[in-house]
Amino acid sequence: MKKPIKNFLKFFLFGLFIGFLGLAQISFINDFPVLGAKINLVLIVILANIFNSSLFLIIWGAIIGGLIYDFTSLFNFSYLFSFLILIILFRTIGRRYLVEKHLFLNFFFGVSGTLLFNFFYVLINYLFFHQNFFDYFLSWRHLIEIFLNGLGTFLLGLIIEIPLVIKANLKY
Amino acid sequence: MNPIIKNKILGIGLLIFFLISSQSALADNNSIFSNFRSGLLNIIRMIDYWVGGFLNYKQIQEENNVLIFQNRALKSLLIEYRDLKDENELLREALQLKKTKDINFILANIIGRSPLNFSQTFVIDKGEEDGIKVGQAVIWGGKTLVGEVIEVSKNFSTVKALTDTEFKVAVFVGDNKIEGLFKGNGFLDSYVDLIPLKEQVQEKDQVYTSGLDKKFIRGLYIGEVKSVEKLQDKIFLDIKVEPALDWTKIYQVLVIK
Repeated sequence: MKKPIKNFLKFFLFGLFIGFLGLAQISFINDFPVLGAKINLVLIVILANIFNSSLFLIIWGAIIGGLIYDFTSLFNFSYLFSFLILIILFRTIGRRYLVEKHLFLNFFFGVSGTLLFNFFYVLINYLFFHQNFFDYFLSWRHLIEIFLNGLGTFLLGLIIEIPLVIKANLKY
Repeated sequence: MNPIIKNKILGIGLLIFFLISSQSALADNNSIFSNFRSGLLNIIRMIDYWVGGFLNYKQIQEENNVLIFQNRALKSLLIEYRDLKDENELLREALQLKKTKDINFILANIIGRSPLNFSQTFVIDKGEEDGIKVGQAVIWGGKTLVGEVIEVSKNFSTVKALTDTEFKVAVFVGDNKIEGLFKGNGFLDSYVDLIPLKEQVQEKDQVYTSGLDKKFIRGLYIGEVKSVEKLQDKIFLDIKVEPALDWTKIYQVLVIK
């Protein structure tokens, strides 16, 4: 397949997937809270793909997911910017210090990514929109969300890795 | 270009874009966005119905059977109710009693909902221009309390649902009108606080606003008592409440003027 078509398809399908997850997050995920906390589907997919070779693909996903979140909530683009800041931060700092790829890194990025994403969101809302979400940020429900997202990122990373491992083994 | 300068330009550009976009989004003449948001929420409603229907098919079927039965029973009671209403009006006229004050409502569509855990809030498409004010009660399904208006713009308002962790209202519990304080608890069970251990609270007791905190009018229904426990070393009962309405499943509300 020609490269531009392949790239277009990649962007289209990834956008569609993130779009579906965004809509799922706002609709039926409400029915499945775990110990008072909801999982963040879009964040999990973005964190599991944070070191994907195409930065624009991740940013594209962040824009789609962030806009869906923003349009259905307070409509101040704080979700979108929290996603973008998180991606820029992880891509610039994370790559500099990451020396070896390890499966459990996904869990680490899930945990630290959730913490940072929520921190940026709370900070942006506090500084620009006079919304105080520190109550949630410092609550034990936040710890559960961090763990859930970490676990979700780990599992998704595992699912993504399986075909790569099979492919690598087949070569030998 | 030097990557450091490139990053700086990118960062400054992002900040400027953020400030402009967020301010323009919060500006009040955003009816196009408002339409887009309600459209998006319609899609979400469709997904919610389909997935919810698929996952809870058996439960819905059972509920439907119960509701059909209840509906028939209520229809028969309605005849009796009409007779009582006529009799009541006749007696009021005879005694020259004033009618209870009518409540005015504003019908509003929900156009946004908090997607994550930070808060339990939603956005309605009515604002200052329609007479919405901070602190007004938001109800649905008869006189069932859904939340409270916490922020008002020209054309839209933000409502804090009664399950939000910061939501509090004075309530009566049960027929004995035991006074307590209802508190939301996010996705966990809401509860009623400040009811001493000696009080007799039963499961299925109704919880409704008392009006004693001057916040909302008396008699707005909240839900039923789900469980009552006497915990050791506590001076108040641990009362969990099942709210009558799930704010994530409704798409229209009434705001009490």
